[in-house]
Amino acid sequence: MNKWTAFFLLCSFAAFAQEPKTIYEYKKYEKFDLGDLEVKGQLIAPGDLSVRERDRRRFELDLYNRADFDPNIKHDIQTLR
Amino acid sequence: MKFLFILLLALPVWAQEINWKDKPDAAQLAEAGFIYAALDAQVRHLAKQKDQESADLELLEELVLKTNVEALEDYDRGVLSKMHVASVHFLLGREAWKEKKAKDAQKWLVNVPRWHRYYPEARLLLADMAADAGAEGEREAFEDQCFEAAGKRAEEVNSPLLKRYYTVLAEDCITIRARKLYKAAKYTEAIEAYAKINKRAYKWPYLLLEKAWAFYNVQDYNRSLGLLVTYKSPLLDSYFEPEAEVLTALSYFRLCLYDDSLVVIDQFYNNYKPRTEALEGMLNAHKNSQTHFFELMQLSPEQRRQLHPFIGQLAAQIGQRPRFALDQASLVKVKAESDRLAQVLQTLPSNHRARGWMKDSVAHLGAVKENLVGRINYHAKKDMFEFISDVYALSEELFKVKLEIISRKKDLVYGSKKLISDRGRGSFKQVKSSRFEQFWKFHGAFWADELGDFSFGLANNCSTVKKEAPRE
Repeated sequence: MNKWTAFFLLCSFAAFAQEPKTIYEYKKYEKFDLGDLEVKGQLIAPGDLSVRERDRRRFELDLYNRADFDPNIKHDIQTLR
Repeated sequence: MKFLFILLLALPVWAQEINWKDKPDAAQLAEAGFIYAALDAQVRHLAKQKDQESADLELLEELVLKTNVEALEDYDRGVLSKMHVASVHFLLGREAWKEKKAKDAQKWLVNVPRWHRYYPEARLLLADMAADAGAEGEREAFEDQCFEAAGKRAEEVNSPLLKRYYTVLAEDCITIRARKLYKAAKYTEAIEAYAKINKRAYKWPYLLLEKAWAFYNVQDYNRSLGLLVTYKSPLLDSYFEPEAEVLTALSYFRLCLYDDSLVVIDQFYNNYKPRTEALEGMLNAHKNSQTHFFELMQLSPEQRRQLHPFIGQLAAQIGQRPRFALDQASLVKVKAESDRLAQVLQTLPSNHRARGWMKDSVAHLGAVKENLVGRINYHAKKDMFEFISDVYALSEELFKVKLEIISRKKDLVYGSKKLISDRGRGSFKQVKSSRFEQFWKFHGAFWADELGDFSFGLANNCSTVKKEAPRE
């Protein structure tokens, strides 16, 4: 095969590889009639919402209480003499 | 004047008894009435001896009993520990107790024999350590020994100072029991133990507060308030306890008498804030002084009354303690001895051989005197600083009560509730009493025999009711 045949074949393949340009077009507007939609199945959720009542958590301050009188014992002994 | 006359007459007698040319020994000094100088001479003498003779140790014991054990506080403990004398053992045991070295303290204190002056106090220290170690049986035994011995000595001694010391000591021995029961949360037993302390006891006014805490913890808030109101009596005017105000506010709070509690809290701030600031100003101005608080303690009750109320009342409280009385008595004795020795020194010719040791002795007595002044000054200052620190700590606690009251009042508003009575007042029905107690109405007068037996009759106000919606 001479050089000219090869050149010719290459040019012919390149001509076949070019495809036509595709243009996609999306739907600009679509209407759903929700009232017309129907879901088939069994309703298992409760019909109404309920919240269980509970008391508000209160944080009580740790108020002062005398645990012991140990410092008084030491003080009394130290003030004896 | 009479005393001075006797003193002047006695001067030549000392001069005859002491060989002034040589340094006299402790026995000679003691015989001449120089007990502090004698004690110093005897300690120095014994420190040099390898084998201490029993006669020397007996003399040391005798001198310590005359001067009080505090006179030995400045000597080296290593030197003292070689002197096997009960007073010295007591001193070493007490020092170890102060440093919280219980084993060392016990080792020395158990050596103090039953007949000894310091035996009851040694037993009190042992009881305290036994309580800390959780040895209940031992604690009770030591307390009993202390109470019995101190009570017996209080009856035997003639000196008012010693009588007071032993009486207060005996009170301390029975108080420790009530306090340890309180600590163990045995409040009912603690109340019974406090009830055994006589109303005439020196400590009784201070113990009212402790007893009130015990009632508070058994939820008898009315009795707690009743005990605390005793401090309002004119008889207990000088006993002011800021903690009593806190407990009053807390008792009202537990009864849900929030407004009453708030009144007490406001009174606390109005009363204590300006006074504490004044006291703090005075303390800070003199905190480095070595004599200011000592001088304050020397003022007469009339002079103290002219001072700021807190300062005068605190000085009065400190002055009632046995330690102050003992230190003050020791100071008078040391000062008298120092003056006498200085007087003898003045009569000696300038080249006399005795001048050397006498000058040393006068200097030593000066140091003892200075030490006692410093001791009185330090303890008075320390007590006053502690008081201020307590007031600030308690003020913080009261602030918490105030916050809690505000929070509870807010809850009532949000919950559309109100307390069952806006202001519940008392009735006899609310007073808990034993069959041995009778009740009389309070008509604004504090009768001495009724002090400490008051009770409020307030109804608990903690139940809530739904608040009615306002009518349109």
